[in-house]
This record gives sequence, C-alpha cells and structure tokens, in this order.
Amino acid sequence: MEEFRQEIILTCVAAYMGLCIWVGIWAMRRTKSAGDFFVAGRGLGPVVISLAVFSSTLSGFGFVGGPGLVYATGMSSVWMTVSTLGYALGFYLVAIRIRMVAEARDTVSLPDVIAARYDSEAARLLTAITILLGVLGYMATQILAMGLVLQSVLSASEMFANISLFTCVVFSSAILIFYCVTGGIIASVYTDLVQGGIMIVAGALVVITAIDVFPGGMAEVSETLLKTDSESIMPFGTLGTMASIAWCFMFGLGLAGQPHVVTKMMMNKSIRDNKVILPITVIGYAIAAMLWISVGVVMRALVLGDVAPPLSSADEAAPVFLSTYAHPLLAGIVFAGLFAAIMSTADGFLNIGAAAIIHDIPRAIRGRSLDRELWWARVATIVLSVIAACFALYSYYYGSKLVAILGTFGWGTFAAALVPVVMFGLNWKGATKAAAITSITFSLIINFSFQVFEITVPYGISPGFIAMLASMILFVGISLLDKRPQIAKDIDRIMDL
Amino acid sequence: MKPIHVIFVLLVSMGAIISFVLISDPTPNAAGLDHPTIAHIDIGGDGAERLAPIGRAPYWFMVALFSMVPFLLYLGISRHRRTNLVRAALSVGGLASLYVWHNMYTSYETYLATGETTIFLGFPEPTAWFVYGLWCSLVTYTATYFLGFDTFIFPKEDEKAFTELMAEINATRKAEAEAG
Repeated sequence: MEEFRQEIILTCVAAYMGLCIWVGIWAMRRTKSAGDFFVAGRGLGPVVISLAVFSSTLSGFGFVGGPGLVYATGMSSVWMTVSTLGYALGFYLVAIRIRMVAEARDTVSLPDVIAARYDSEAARLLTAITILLGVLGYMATQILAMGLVLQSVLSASEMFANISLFTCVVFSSAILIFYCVTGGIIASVYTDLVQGGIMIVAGALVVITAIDVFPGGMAEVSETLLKTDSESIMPFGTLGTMASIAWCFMFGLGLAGQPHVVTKMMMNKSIRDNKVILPITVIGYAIAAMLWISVGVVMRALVLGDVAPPLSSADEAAPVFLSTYAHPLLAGIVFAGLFAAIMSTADGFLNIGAAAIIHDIPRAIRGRSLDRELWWARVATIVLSVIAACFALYSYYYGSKLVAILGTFGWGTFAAALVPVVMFGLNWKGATKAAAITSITFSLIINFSFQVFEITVPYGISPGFIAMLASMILFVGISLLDKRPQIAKDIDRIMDL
Repeated sequence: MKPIHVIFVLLVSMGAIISFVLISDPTPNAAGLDHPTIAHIDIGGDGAERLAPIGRAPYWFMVALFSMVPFLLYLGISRHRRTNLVRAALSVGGLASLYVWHNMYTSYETYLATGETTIFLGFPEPTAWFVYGLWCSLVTYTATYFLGFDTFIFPKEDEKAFTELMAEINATRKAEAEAG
C-alpha cells in the first residue's frame, strides 16, 4: 500500500471535496429562511452540536498549527488546549441562557443577543464590527491555508506537479463558496460532524502511531528532550511560565466569547440536550487534542535526537509526520480531516460575517435588517469569500502584513471584546450598557495598537491576554460604579432561571 | 460579599501580578531563544535563571485564576439554587485544580533546583501533573454539570417556567400580528 500513498491521499481529499458539494446540495433543501441559514432553525441534535462546538474550537489549527507550535516551542502551546476549563465556563455561563434568549427574541446572531441583553444598538454595532474584522482575518488565513495544503497535496503527483497557488486558492474557494452559499450553517455543522468524527478517530490512531515511533515510547521521547533542552518538555515549554499561563487564561476563559462557538449554542433543539453536549464535547476534544501534543513532541524529539532532518517550517511537523510514519490510509483520512476542519471553520466564520453585514449592522443603524435576508445572506457570503481570497493572495504574493495582522486579530480580540460582555452580561444583572460599550471599544483599541505598532510584550505574553484581562477588570469595575440597569422583562425572567 | 465582588478582587489581583511582571527586567531567554543550529526550533535555556526576576508571580497568578473559576461558575447558577451542595461541588473542582497546580509547580521548582525528575506515564513528573492531573481536575466541573443538571443547572421547574414565558411571548406576538 505504501507505493500508492500519494494516490490514497489524493483520493481521500477528492472524496471529501465531493462530500462537501453533496452536503451543500442536501443542506440547501433544508435551508428555507434566514433563521435556517444562520442558526439551523434551532433544530440540531446533541451529537451534532457537541462535535460542531469542539470542531469549531480546534479548526485547521489543531491539525497543523498546534503540532507545529509544539515542535517549535515544546509544551508551551499545550496550555491552549486546557479547554475543559473553557467548555465548563461556556456551558455553565452561556449555553442555556443564550439559547433561551435566542428563542424568546428569535435571534440569529450574537450581536442580536447582546442588543437584547443591554437594550443597546451601539453594543450591537460594536459587536458586529468586531466580528466582521475578526472574520476577515480568520477567513483570509483559512483560505490561504486551504490553498497551500491543496497545492502541497496536488504537487506531489506527476499530473499536477506545477500547479500554482492561485489555481489552488481559486479551486478550493469555489467549492467553499458553493457549499457555504447553498447550505449555510447547516452545511457547516454537518461538515463539523465529519471533521469531529475524523479528529476523534485520527487523534486516537495518531497517538498510537506516535508512541510507536521510538522503541521506548513516550518515556524515550521525554528523555531525549530532557537531554537536549529540558525546558521544552517541562510543563511551560521554551516560551516559559508567563507565556504559557497567559495562553491558559486567554484560551480557557476566552472560549465563552468566540462568536463562532457560542452561536452554535443557540442551535440545539432542546435546552435539556446541554446536559450531554458538554461531556461529549470535552471527551471529543481531549482525544483530538492528543494529536496536537503527540505529533509535535515526537517530531521535536526526532529532529533534536538526529533521527530525522530538520523541517523547513514548523507547520510541516504534522504533514511530515503523517507522510513518513503514519499508515497511508490514516494519512489520507487526516488530510481529508484537515480540509474538513478548514472548510467548516471557514463556513462558520462566513456565516457570522454575513449575519453581521446583512442583519446586525443594518439593524443597528436603521432599526431593521435587509429585506429578503436569505438572498442577501448568500450574496454577502460570496462577497466576503472573494474579499478574503483576494486578501490572502495579495498577502502571499506581495508580502503584505495585512492578513497576518487580521489573522492574529482573531481569538484574542474576540475573547477580549466579547467575554466580559457575554459571560457576565448573561449572568449578572448589574452588568451595564456603558461597561459593555467601553470594554469592547477599549479592547479593540489595545489589540489593534499592539498589532499596528508591533509592540512586543515581555516574557512572550500574548497581547490578546493583556487586552482581555484589562477588558474584564474594566467591565466589572464600570458596572459596579454604574447605576443598576433596567433590564427588559423577558430577559430579566430568563436571567432568574 | 457577592460572587462578583470576589471575582473583581481576584481579577484586580491578577492585573497587579501582571503589572509587576511587565515592569520586571526579563532575562534574554525569558521567552525562549532560537536553537543555535536548527532553524524553526526554540530552546528554553536555563529555567531557574529566567524565573528569577519574577519569583513566584506565575504561581500566584494561577492560584488567583483557579480560585476565580468556581466563583465564575457559581455566577452561572440561578440565585435561588445556590445551595450548599452547589458550593461543595464547585469547591471540589476548585480545590482539585489548586492541588494539582501546587504539585505541578513545586515539582517543577524542585527540578530546576536539583536537575532531577522521574518519568511518569511517559512524561517528566511536572509535565505529567499538567497533562494528566490538570485536565482531570478540571473535568470535575463537567461531571458536576452532568450530575447536577436536573437539580441545579436546569431543573424541570425552570423548564416549565421558560415554557410559560414562551407561551406569554407567543401570545403577545400573535395579538400584535392580528392587530396589524
């Protein structure tokens, strides 16, 4: 089977692309309104939601970026995966109340929920703008990653040896646009289901493969790393304690403010399903995260132990491991899973971005969303995809930092701007409109300043963490000083439950 | 003292710790160094040296964070269901994570001082506390959520109250639609 490795990988990827088109057509039949397009008509079951929530958290980063970071910096980035904390906070503090507000106010987006809670169109507008900026950055990086991975898979075959990145971006974007436009969020959550399933199975199999690479298993890996640079296999990795715990704070607490994750908490059919959604999500994530840790650590030990040659970039850790050590079929499945991860994440972001453009921003400015929302949602999805693809190609060919700036603007900015507003806002009646507006604005200014002026924080601390901690202190502080707000009766009753 | 006040005090404490760290004088390897011969790989260098300027600041930061988590979760429980059972269940999670964190950090400090560690289930002792211990200690919150769902997270009475609220909202919507 080894001699057909490339053909097997290509077949798996092609089969996945075909599956995307089929899911898009199937989901189109179930998408009859803007509510279906944006929140799947709030009719999804617990398994679909569970896998969609954890897949949205991991995305393509879990397959490529995560192992790459462990390869480059040891255990530091593993602090990002302490999501048992983030999921617990998300489900205790957000899942049930956001689902109730969604039903009571017939909301389709996170800005809708924030506007309802704070009775503020300014808060809605700021949230929508934050989401739109984050979405553009995330989308451009996802499209670029999709093009690069497709190019690396195709160029290994004789037929497509000289295929250009431009062609790969256009081809993969075309499939992405087709299935996003036709299927909306329903297509996204069902590809999340595929991705989640693949990640759980592949995570377990890849860990077994990784342990087998060294005769002495993980103990030999650890001993190799202890001899070469002990800090890398110690709990804080090469980046040190402060960088690691900053990531733990930002990725643990920050989950509750990720719009692509919390929006999925509005989509379940029954609120009671949350009882099983949380455990399934945590178990699925734990297994999938093992791929992240094991591949990165083993590749680092292979290179530092002079068993394998150094990689040309850290992001090659997972592809090189899979193409060298994994069974061809497992490699093919993981590559297909990688596409599933990138595409479903991109679809999720396109969805909340389209909602911001055609639903939230018009509502904040003129008091109502656009007429024929479903039609405009599809138009906005195409426009956003094309802009993001242009950004990605421009950035790649002309060395622009725009995508990098917008890309890093992702998780940390969502966390800093939205965690206090969502997490405290849905659970504490003392949270005020002024606090929400101030903390969102303040966190956007801090994050953009750090990126635009290229300010480096000592000890490798993430700027997003600084912005998030400051934003949380500001939010609670202002709310405590402010007059207790009047809350709409229905929201007030929901907050009592 | 209400939970939100405790949360605010802990957030401010974390802010103070971070401010102290930011004004301290970092060593050259504070956030790692490039590997001398291999590109795209970092090394950490002397762990004790880079911790020296900030002392136990990371330890106390995480103590504040793991202490804050049960209060945050407590905030998510509706006021009339905040019983001793809830407090006890959340305290177990908080104390478990603090216990694991303490063992992880002190075993790391011991390694930095002695250069010796044992391998447990494939990882050095401090890393094993992190990989196995921290994850498991935080899973207690998930277990509490699952086991307490029908008692204090979303009991039948809350479901009924929400159904009644939705009936009122739908009736109002219908009346408004009929009125044009």
